[in-house]
Amino acid sequence: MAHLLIEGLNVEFPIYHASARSMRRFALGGALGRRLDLDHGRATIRALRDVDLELNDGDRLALIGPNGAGKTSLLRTIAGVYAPLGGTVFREGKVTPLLSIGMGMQPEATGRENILLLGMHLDIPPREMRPRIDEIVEWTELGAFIGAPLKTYSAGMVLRLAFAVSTSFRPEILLMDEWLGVADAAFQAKAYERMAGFVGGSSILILASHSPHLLESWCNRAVRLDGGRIVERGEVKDLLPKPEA
Amino acid sequence: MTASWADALADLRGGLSRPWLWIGLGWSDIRLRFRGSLLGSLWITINISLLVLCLTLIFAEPFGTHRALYAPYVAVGLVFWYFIQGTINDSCQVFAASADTIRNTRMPLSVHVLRLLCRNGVVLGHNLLVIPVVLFAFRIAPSPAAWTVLPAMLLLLVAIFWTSLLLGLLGARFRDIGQVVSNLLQLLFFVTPIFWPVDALGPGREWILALNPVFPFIDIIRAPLLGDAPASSSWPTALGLTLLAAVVAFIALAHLRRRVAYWL
Repeated sequence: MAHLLIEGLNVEFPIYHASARSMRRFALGGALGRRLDLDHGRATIRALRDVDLELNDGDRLALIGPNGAGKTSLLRTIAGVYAPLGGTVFREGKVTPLLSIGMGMQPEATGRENILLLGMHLDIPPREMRPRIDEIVEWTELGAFIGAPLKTYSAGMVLRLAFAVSTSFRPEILLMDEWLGVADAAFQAKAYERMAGFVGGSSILILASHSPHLLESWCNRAVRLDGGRIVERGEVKDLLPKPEA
Repeated sequence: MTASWADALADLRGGLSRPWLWIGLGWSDIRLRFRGSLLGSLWITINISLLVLCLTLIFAEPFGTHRALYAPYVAVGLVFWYFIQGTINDSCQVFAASADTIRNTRMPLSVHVLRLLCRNGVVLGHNLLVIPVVLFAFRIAPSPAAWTVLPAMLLLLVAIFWTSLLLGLLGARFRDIGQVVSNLLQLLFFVTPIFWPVDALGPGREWILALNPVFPFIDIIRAPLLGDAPASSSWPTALGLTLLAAVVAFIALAHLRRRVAYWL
């Protein structure tokens, strides 16, 4: 049973000039008064405005929109990384964020160790993760590489490992940002098969991507974001940017 | 954004209730650091032993101290100084070092600080081995009050936790904090009686110690181990400083916790 309810969500964050981060600027700004402060002070970005969204079991939502539309901000807010300035995010079910490949993984550690490390970053204690290692190794087809350091892996192998670990416990609310797009077709098909197993039942998937094919095959509904707002809701194929005729 | 006390509490509780997480991460940091090295983490112990040996050979005489007294003194002082310096130095970068995690998944911020403490605690554990060896070699009998070393070490851990949390929060916002802190630490090493005995200060100059935030902690750990009593002001000062660090760090956590993800 998974449920996600977002109401009136507003997220805003400060933009810091590289120079505004240092204390010299901060101190000077204070000493020289407001003018400098305006030059180097905070500008804020409204990352998300008045977002309403409700998702239930079996919903596989495609996030569509140009760069900077707020897709990643929305995913991070759902994951609990960004705190809303206004509005509420109500989550029922464990959120598994897959927003950055290699998050929590160590290049020097072996594949086996990285399974445990990534698991820990997803709030899964090693004692619960260990019994799943064999299944993960088998699914990723990493074979003997599982004992080799992660730095010897190809990007695709890291991707397989991260995906397998993140989905080894049926995720209730799975968030994925773009990165599946870099996988080859064979892996995408294999990942889809693994996904369909649990998303078909009682899970929620939210997938942000620029790949029309990926979104169409993985998702059953869509929203289009622009300037931090949801500007359109509907079927995936209707919301995808039309190919130039 | 206003302060969120409930958030700060939940963050601390979330971190403390997941020892498997910060112990696992801290331990793996150490394992990876020494992977492929023949002697592995034994290097930590070798390093401090050599330093104690060299300092004793060079400084025992000019400071007018017998080697048998100087070696244990410098050993205990250095072991705990290293723990303090290592942890505080890394603490300014503690959130920046985990930026990818903080920006992409939800994990209590206190976990990163506890991981730092755990990692440096493993190093401390390796260095501690030197102390009984030196004490035994020079036949130093700890005082009956030697048990107070345990609460003293605990107090040091607590004080370091809060200080690291505070510096981590400030360091995430102001990148210069790390430079300031490492400079101050370097200075602090020379003005703290670690490789020089307290009486080397000379009469009327004890105020130099009164301004030193590290000395009370070193004193309450070192004195009982060497069979002495700590200065009467050391325990109250150490307790007061710990409380102060806790209050300031908690206020900072309540105000800044939500912003860290934006700063990194």
